[in-house]
Amino acid sequence: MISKGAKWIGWTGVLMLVIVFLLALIGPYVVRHDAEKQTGMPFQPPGAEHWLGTNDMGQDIMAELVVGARTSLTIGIAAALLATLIGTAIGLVSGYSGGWVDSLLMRIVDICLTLPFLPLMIVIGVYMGPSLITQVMVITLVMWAGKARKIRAQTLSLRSRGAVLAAQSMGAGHFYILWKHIFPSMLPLVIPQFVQAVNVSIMMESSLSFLGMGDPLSKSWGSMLFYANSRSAFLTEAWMWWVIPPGLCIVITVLAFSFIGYCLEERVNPRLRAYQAASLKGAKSAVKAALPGTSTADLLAVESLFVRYPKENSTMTAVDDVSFVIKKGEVLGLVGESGSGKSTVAAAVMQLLKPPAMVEQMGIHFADRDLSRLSPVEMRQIRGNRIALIPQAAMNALNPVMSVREQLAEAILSHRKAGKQEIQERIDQVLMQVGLTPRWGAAFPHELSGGMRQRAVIAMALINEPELVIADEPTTGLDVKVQVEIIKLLKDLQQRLNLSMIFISHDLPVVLSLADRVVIMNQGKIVDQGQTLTVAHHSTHPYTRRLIDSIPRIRTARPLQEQR
Amino acid sequence: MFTRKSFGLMLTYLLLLSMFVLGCQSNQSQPAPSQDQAQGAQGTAAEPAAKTVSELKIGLPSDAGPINIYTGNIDYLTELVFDKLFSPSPYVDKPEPWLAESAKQLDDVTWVVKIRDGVKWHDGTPFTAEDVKFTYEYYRDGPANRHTHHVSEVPHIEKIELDDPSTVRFTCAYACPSLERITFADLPILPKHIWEKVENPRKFTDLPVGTGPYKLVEYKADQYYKFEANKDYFKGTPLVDTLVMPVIKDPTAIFNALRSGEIDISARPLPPELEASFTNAPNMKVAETSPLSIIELKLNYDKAPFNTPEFRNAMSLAVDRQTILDTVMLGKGRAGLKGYPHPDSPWTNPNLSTPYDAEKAKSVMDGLKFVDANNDGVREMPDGKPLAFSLKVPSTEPSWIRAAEMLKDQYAKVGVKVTVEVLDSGTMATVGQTRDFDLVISNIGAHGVADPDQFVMSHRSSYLWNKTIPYPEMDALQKQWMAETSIDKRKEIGFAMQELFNKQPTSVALFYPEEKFAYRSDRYDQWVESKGYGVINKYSLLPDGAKKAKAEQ
Amino acid sequence: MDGSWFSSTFGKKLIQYVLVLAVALSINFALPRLAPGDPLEFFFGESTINELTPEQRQRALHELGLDRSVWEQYADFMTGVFHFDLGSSIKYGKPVTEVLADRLPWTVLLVAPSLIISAVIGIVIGAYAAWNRGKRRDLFFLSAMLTVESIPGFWIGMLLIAIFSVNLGWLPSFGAVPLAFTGGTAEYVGEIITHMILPVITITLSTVGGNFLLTRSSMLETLGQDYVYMAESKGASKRSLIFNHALRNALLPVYTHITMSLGILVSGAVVVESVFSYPGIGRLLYESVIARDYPMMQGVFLIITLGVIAANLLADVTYPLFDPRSRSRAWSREVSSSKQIGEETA
Repeated sequence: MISKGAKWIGWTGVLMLVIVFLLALIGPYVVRHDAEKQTGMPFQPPGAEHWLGTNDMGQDIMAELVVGARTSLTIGIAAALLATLIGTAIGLVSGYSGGWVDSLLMRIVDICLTLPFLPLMIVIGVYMGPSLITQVMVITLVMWAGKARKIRAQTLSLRSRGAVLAAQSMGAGHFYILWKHIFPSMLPLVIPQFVQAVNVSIMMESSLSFLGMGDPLSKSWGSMLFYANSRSAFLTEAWMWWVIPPGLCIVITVLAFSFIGYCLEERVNPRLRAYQAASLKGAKSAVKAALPGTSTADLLAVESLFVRYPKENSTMTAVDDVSFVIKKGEVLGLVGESGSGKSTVAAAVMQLLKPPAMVEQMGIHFADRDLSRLSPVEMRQIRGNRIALIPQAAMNALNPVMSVREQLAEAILSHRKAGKQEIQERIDQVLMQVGLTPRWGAAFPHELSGGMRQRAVIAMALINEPELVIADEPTTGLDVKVQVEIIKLLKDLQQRLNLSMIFISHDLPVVLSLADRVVIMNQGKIVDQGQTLTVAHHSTHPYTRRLIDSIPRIRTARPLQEQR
Repeated sequence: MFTRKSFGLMLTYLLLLSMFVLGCQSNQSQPAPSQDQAQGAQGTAAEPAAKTVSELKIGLPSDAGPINIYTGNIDYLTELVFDKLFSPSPYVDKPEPWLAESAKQLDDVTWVVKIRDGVKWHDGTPFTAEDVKFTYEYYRDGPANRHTHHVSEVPHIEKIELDDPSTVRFTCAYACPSLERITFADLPILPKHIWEKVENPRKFTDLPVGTGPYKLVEYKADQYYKFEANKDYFKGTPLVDTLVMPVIKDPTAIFNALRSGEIDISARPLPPELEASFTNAPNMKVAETSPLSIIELKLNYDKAPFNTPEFRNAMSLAVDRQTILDTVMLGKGRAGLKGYPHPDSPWTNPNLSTPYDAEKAKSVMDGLKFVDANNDGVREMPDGKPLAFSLKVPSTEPSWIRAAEMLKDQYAKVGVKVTVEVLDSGTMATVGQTRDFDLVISNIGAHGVADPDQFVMSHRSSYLWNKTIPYPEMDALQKQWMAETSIDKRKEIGFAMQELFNKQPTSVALFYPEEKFAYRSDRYDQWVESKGYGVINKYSLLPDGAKKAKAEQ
Repeated sequence: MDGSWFSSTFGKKLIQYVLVLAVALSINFALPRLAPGDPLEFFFGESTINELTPEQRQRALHELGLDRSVWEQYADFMTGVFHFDLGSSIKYGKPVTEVLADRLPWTVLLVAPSLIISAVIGIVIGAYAAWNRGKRRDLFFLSAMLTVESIPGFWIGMLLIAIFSVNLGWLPSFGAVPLAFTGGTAEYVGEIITHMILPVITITLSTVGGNFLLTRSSMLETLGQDYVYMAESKGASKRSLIFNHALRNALLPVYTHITMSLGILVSGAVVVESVFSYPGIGRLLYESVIARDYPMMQGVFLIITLGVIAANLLADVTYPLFDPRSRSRAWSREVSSSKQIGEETA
């Protein structure tokens, strides 16, 4: 999904680029004059014969402009291609190999980054003669090092990812890993780098030419500006047809690439896609007429919840008419395959869905208040205070630059004023509850193991003694031994603190071991629900049966017998 | 809904863009010139009662160091601080005595000069004949600068003695009839009490002490010069108390500054394309000068086939100088049809002619058996090597690059292939020395093309020829020239040398530029040209400057 | 942070940087000498240089100490560097260090405020646009910033001069100080500031886009992170979400980028300094290259190299202050050894 704004920008970029390319490709056939020939008197203003007048040598400026488009684009693309290729290759090798190869290559990169490009231009220019190739060489030389550094950083983070590690452990060759695993995931990052490099080289070409260090004999936008500037075009009327057009061409071309680059980056960089502007009101929420007669014994009652996402021209319904209730002290298991809408339900309850999600419901009643009707401020007071969330992916749920203790303190302070002493005591208490010694509070998230992080997240959810805890796949990404520990901990806490809990998981056995009641979801719809034992043993719903039958025998039997 | 949004965005954009463009546009709207302001600015020297001004700002296009003639040299700046025995220059018919009271030639090789009394150096030390003797000996024996060969080689002054405390006697190694008119009028006199202590003149950076009308009181390299008037100047108190000269290298910036009133005159000549906008501006005038300089195309006489005199002639005949002038200079100045040296110099043969005749160029080359045997459009030498040359131009001179592009086309028409090569000016400078070129475009100033002794010198120093390469006809003329004791006869021999030179030139004059200087007439209006120095010179700043600049007193 | 960590990491880095410096210096020594041409033209002027006889030329080179072997000059240069003696500029006739000391403050005066202004504007608008992603203001700022970034610096400079100094006459078009100024200190400072305005605007405009884009994309990335979601779900205020969670993490790469650009901007101001005839290092470099003033060029290179390396070092050394992940090796060693204990208390 890519936002309309980004799309608009992208297409504008494409349009501008098409114009520039057309100018470069067919321009010379349309413009009557030969840019290299003197076709008029020098310094002529625009007229019927010369649309943009003539330059200091009597050459047609319009003709120069279209020939210049070819030169500038050629230099820009050639230098960018070279720099990106070299930079990517060096960055990949350096980041992947590590060790002395990495050190050596990075030091070379450092040296290159310190080289002043002006004298470099002169030295290379003298040996190779001022020409397009020289300019491409110099620009490449200046640019590749920065690219290499960026690509290396990306490679470093990719190297430690699962697939790569797995391939390595299976003894795959380095080249194979680079080519099959690292390079493809790199490509989306390389392309914007390339587009950006085109920009930089076009700009650099014009600056070099402006300083008189380009190739004054070739017709490029930069060299046009060089002559315009040195023949005082800025001081006469000529700037309108001699300075503005090539300058505008540079701006348009660079802007076109910027726009396209931006759009590509939006498209390919998954990390940028995660966030959509939080409209202050939250997702668009519509309340259908509430049905009377909710029982007061229910802590939470979700009635007829719909969540839709716009998709191309239609909408995709992620949650389709979901209703359920939880009583005080009850554990509700919410089961379904990934993509079945479970987590969306959790987010909807917390009022955390962001546009473009569209939410409709008859009501989400929590302790007699309809959460969907609360103002953002009121809702904020409930979140983390009366309803807490233990999110998926606890590995990343902690802010890496704040200590655990700071983050716990923030959770308290978001809801009430408290003295230092009191806060610290509460933190120690809750840390011990989740099985962490208080000294871990001073640690930063990256210093904790996965299990410890999950414990810290649970501590954060419990710190304000909420009435309802929503645990959204709390064991994702943890190894099996730790999973068992965390489930045990949750069960333990639930019983000790008499928590009401929604436990969301795709892991039916785990849910069956924990929940009083289960709700089974498939493709956004509730397909089955009831008391845990009833559902486990007597459900006739085909989907539920399929789920239950797929559980290995040994495991199904045991928890049910042991727990109940 | 989205279309409305994007439309609004577009509108905002267009608005911003148009504001930007309008902002620039208003830059163009100059007030219409009123009639009386518009009438040009020549003939400024109508000699009104000398008006004094407290400060003038002069924009310089380049920096010349702390006016130490051993570390950089711009003649008109040197002239502000230093004086010569005779003034204004070797480029007038008869220079007048300046630091000298009089000069007398005793015989073919001996001159005596009476020194002016009562002149003081800027630091208060009296100026004496000792200073003159010291300076000339220093030039003769010390490190080279642009002046030294006038003492050390052409002519060669063997002995410099003091007859009495105010009389210096010069004895030359061979006849030196031109001493008064050239050497004395060209060499600035240095203070002995300072320079005898200088260890390495190339590394001497103290502010200069001279006798001239202005003292350099502040100098910031690449930034500015500041001069104060020497109130006790022996030729009259200068009319401007303080001169500030910012260095503004960018041509657009310097004329911008002139227009905005940040400077009062630009030492960078006004390019032809800007003339109209300045002559029409209020409080602005343009002074026209005819500088003694030539934009030349040099042929490397060291290399075949340029060592063939007839081929050099063909190369000269093939150049359509008028078209080049019309294009790159918009017709301002004069085409180089009167050869080398500069036709305005009193020392140049008035009958020189270097016409454009492509047909004749072709027939000369045919005669040399330089023909296009393989029909590729380029002639070959008898040994089969094509007539293909590189033409080097400095990147700092866009108009020369244009001229080079035109030369390429013109030579192509006669079957000579020329490839233009643009080099940065640092590289260009050594090209002439290492002689690693076929063709090169350069500029040669007054000292090179208006000084007859220099013309001979240039044939010895390698600029136009090298004394180690035999050139029988020229060598014979040179021998005759050196032996000649009468300055008028020497001039005639000089004419013959020039005639010979232009028949088989090693330097083709492309054009003789004209230079115009724009200035704010409301700030100062007494600029006068002194041949070879433009209008920014000491005479413009002295009472009776116009007369002094032409040596009419 | 205990001493051993500091000395080992920092020491290793330092050695690496010294090596980089040595190689860079050698390249910087070689570079100007590989280019043809020599400094003589400057001494004699264009029209006189060619009139020198070969003997005179040789003698002049000797007087300048340029006739010695390259190795001798190299040895001189390298030993000089370690004594902070960079020789004497051929063109300016002054010790290189003196010329540099004269010029460097001007460049810093130009670059530092530009960098700060551009960083502040870029970060503020970038964060704002990211927070409002997809809305009209985001789109507006994004296209505006991309456009500003697409305009060549010299072009901005020339247009600014055309508008503000030639046409409106509000601001001076060249130099850093009024020439031969006679007023008091306050006026002098005022003049310096008016001379700074246009170049600072130019540099700011040509760098602000980069800061904006980086902040925006970095902020978008952090806004989508699980810890921001977690923070929101625990009821943290909007303010805290933006500043404590999203921006604080988003600024890490921005900080590195800005610190590193400190070094590059010293040399990168060439174009702007020549448009405004500003007496900074960039223009000095350009001038010395043109004049083939070897000692001066080496001096400028040295400053640029040192600048880049110092900026790198600064980024390396200060980064851990902002990102705990890169700081506590000692701590994590301790942690890993005691991990079992932590788990056991469960």
